Amino acid sequence: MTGDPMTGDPMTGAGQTAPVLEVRSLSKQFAIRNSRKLVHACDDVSLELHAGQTLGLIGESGSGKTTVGRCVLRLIDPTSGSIFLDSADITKAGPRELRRLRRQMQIVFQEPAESFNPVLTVGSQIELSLKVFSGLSPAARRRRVDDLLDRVGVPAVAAGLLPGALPAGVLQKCSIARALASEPRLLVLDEPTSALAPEAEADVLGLLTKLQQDFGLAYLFISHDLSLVRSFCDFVAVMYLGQIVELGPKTDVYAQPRHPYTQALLAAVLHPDPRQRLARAGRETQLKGEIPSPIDLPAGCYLASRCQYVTDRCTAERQELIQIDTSTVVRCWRAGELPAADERP
Amino acid sequence: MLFEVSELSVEYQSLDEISRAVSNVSLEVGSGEVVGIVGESGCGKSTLALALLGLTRRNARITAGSVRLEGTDLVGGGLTDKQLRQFRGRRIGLITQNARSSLNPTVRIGKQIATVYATHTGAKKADAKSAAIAALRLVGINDPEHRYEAYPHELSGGMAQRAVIAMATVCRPDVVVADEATSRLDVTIQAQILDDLQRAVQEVGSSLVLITQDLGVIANYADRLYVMNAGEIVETAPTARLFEAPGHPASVSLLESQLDLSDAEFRLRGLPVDARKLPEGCWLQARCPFMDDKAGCRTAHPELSDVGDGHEVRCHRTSVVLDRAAELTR
Repeated sequence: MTGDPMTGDPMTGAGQTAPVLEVRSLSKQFAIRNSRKLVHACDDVSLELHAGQTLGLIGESGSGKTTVGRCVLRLIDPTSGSIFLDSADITKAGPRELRRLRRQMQIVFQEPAESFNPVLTVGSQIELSLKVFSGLSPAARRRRVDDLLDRVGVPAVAAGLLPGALPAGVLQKCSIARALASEPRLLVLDEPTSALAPEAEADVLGLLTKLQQDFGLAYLFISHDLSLVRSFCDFVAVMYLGQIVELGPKTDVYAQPRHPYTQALLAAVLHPDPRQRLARAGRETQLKGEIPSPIDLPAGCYLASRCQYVTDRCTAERQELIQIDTSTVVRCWRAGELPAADERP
Repeated sequence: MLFEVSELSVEYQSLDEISRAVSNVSLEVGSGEVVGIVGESGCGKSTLALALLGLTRRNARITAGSVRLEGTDLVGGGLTDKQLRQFRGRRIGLITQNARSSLNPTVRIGKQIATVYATHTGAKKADAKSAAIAALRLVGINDPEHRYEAYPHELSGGMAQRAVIAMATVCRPDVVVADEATSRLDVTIQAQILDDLQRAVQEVGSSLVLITQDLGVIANYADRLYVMNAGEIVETAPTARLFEAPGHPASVSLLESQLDLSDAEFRLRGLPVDARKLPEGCWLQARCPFMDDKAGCRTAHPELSDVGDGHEVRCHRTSVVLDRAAELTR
């Protein structure tokens, strides 16, 4: 973590300033057509994010990461809970108010090629964002497009090209430029580099770091890549079946994971070290099977069917988040008594 | 040697330009061995994967070399398509990155696997079905009789990838080529599937070629590996040896980029070399932190040279690289 004076705590709000983003008990259920059943995409999610900070949201596919990101921008309406952007509750905002608030929050999607219209030039699509969000004249808008591209390190000629003419890494930088057009305070980054080659990935992450330093942006960073979150984020929230199961400063969560799921997730990473092969030999993987269906959820802890530490209480009683120390929360009755996770070889 | 590739080259033709994706690649896979091929994206790994089955994309062609399975050359041996089909699927299986695109969305997965088996072996319907069910069970699918009836869209990504592995192993091939077979899957599923794949090939007695850019996969599953860069093999060694003492700048760079180190002292700079305009001398010269004019990096193309214990490196500066890399891996 940096020595930023605005550094606060995403759960307790121990920072000195108000958070840019505060999510309280967010839940989202999707109805299934021709059925009374519901998909519980996210359940009781609470988090805080301050200016200049990055919160990593990690979990397997289907864990609800993207749903949280979309609710935060109100691209979809949450079923319950509240979301505050600079203390304004966006879940209650009307259309006019929402448009004003959207200026403050933007999103960068996973696949740059799919988030641009293939038949319009990159420049015109960045300009469209300016047209919506700023009162600039057409000439001023075009100058601003060049400024924005310059800011993300893309040559101005790219403005006149179609998205297909640019490599994925450059195009992703253009989509960051488009997101910056409204001068937001919060960016939701939904797997922004997982479609990129390693070199382009490093390049885009370097850019995001610099932009954060320059403008104090808050990032909600959605990823399934544990090592990426480790190197890029200040705080990390681990999601499982729509719930946050562990949230804390990155250094604590990675050094001393408390939740059995976090432990299993970290243990499953294949390290570039042949000694791990010997250590793994003959040992069962900690987590069996796959993530259960988010339709018929179990009564107790959602991990109970896959957890090696399961007790009767786990299967019977709904699992709440427990404060472990000032900055870490864990959704596990047994978090305090579990053995430490296996050390990396 | 069971499976032997020698001096294989593949070129892509576009308009009036030719780019060399695979250059003079020689490699060997012994019976029952797990061999890794690793390299940054764009180094020619996937083109090589296809060429191992004698296949190319439409705008590419194999210009030189041979791919021999127990002595029969699949690329320069003058085999007809019909004869080649006796090898593909039956004696060499291929698993690609995107499982769902290898499956027909309109046919039940069990039926697809049974069809592969029946086509290659001439087995009767009932026998093909039981072979398919056995193959599904072998890759860790619970209740395979029931899953046999599932359509691809009814399976999770991990299950679909398992079904593709079952399809690649159902004929008990000599070699299975897995090209980034688990790179799109969640970390928790990745190790399970690789364990299942490893068990399945052991069970049916196949050798395995694992193609990936993930050194974690190589370290945990491969007995021996080849490092590719700019279409060439630049280093080969037994796995433990290479991780302990990498001797080529491309290997050191890969290792450094995946070791969670903050400094990028030995990282290759910039983008891969343009395969349409390969320079004189070493193809990595413009990107290499070890480049030295006096060693001939700009004038002479390095050959693979043996540094002992089955470890070969293509670099003029190997001794320096080995010394410096020792600091990194310690």
